[in-house]
Amino acid sequence: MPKSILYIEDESFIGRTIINKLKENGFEAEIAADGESAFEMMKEKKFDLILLDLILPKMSGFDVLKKLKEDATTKTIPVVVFSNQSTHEDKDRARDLGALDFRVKVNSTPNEVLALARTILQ
Amino acid sequence: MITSQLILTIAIHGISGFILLGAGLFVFLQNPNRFINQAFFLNFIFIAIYEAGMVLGPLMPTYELAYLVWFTNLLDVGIPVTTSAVILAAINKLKEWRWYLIGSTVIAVGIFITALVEPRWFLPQVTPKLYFPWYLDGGWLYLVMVVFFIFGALIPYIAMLRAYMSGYDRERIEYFLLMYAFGFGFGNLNFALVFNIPIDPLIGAPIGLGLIPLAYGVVAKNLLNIRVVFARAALFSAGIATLAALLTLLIFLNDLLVQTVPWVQFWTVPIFTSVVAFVVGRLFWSKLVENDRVKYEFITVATHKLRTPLTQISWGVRSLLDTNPTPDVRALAEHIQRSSNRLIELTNALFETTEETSQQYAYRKEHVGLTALTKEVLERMSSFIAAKKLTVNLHGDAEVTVTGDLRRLTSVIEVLMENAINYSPQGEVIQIITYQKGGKAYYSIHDHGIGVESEEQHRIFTRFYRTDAAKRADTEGVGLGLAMAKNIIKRHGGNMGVESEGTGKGSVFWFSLPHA
Repeated sequence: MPKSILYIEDESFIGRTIINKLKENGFEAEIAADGESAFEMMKEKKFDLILLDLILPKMSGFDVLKKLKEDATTKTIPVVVFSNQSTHEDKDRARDLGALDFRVKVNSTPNEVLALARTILQ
Repeated sequence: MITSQLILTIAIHGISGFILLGAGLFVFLQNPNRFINQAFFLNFIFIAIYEAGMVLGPLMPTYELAYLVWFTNLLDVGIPVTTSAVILAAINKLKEWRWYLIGSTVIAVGIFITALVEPRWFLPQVTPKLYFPWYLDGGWLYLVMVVFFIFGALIPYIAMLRAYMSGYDRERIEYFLLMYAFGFGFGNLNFALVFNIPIDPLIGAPIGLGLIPLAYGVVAKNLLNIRVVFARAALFSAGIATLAALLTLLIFLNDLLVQTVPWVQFWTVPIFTSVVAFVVGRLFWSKLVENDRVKYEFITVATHKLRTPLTQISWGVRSLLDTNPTPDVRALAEHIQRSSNRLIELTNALFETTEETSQQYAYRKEHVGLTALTKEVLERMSSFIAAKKLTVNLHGDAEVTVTGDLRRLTSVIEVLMENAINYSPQGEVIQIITYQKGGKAYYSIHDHGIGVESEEQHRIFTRFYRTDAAKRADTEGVGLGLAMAKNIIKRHGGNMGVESEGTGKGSVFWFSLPHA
């Protein structure tokens, strides 16, 4: 069964580019435009990996991460923060809240995201 | 009686206290919003209060005052709780252990309240002991506190030790382990005399020594910039000492005024000075913080806002190139790709220099082979080198190894190499020489490019500075690369410079680093 990935990202072009890349390479991938719809989707389906942007409408990425790690049903899902907001403070905070990795969008290519997903979900 | 032995003991306790206060404040101000920094601060404050008791307790003129000062030992109940919080935060186990933390807080509050209700259970009396005019004579509740003190912190300490054994985040927690081993090892010795076991509290005085492993961690793992840490810690300690001196002076002046001027009430001066201090402090602080923050936030927000459209352009062009376009479209798309890469590099450079100068964060240290690293960089730049028909030769020792942050040292070599390529005429030779001598590694890049006039040589490492020749040769540059490179080399304990006979005569950019 293919592994499933949820990408929480409000910027639709960036979201689609990654989702398409993952789907083309045998993953099941879905996009959520904000934290609330992400939690709705997680009620319906179990995901194996979450990619998370930090700047999101309604709940911030950090709030989403915190809530994910507090909930017993979602806390074991690996979360990779994938954002263009990348001060040392942000990186520390993401790590403190339990993120597995922190990647800067502008410095990554869709292929590198694919490789990262493969490494984590192997 | 005050003997020289007493003075020595309380002096060391006093110094320990000041160091702890300074270090606690420093760590707190590094990031006041982070839980671990807050817990660390409280932890050090509690230990510093204990140290203040050790200094003032023996010196009190009357029994009542001595009893009162020694009674502040009760605040020691805060130490195991805050120590546990720091340890659990460091190993990321706060959530799993939250009941442990809540439980020990309840015990601490329990001991505290019981002692306030019945002080004699905690401290029946103070008596002369060894060379102390007054020392604690602990009751059963004091003993309960000591047991809680030892086990309360020991249990999370063991958890940390196990995390360390399992390989969790070794670099970071290594120094926490050592620090608390020292701090508690020494600190607990002071309790012996409370129960008439004749261990001299002089042996337990250097609780502040717990900071030595911390300093070791800071130096060896370069967790923070050591010079900044010491400068700040010294500054804060001096600040606290000055404040204490000012307060003493104020109390003295207040007494004098109350006695000599009939209409001055005992509360006039304190209230008046508090208001003045508050207003002045607030003004000063807000200006200070505002200046720094505005600059930092402007650049961070600006670069972040630029990054989102840049990501879209860069990924969009990439997708376009994947669709197998016609040669014309491909050439145009590659042109857009190069330009967007250039913009991404620029925003990254701006962002990184701001971060480099705005705070002191961790440098990851590992063994780095400079020759191997140079070969990697040259490989990535081979198309630019070929385009200008340049020849690059490597000379010197086969490999020179240094201890440093791989990513940052790569940026340094990239900056120097890019400059050498950009500012060399077509078909020229660039030589790179690496060698080690007398505990140092030397690295230099020799080009036959535009050169640097002698009066400009010290200025080209300043941010945004570009020589006239450089502006003419390459209109794209912004003048951040060399400033960032020199900053990185300095943070590694090395040095960087340039030698050139003048415009058009080529230049030698060099740096030296401590050899691994």
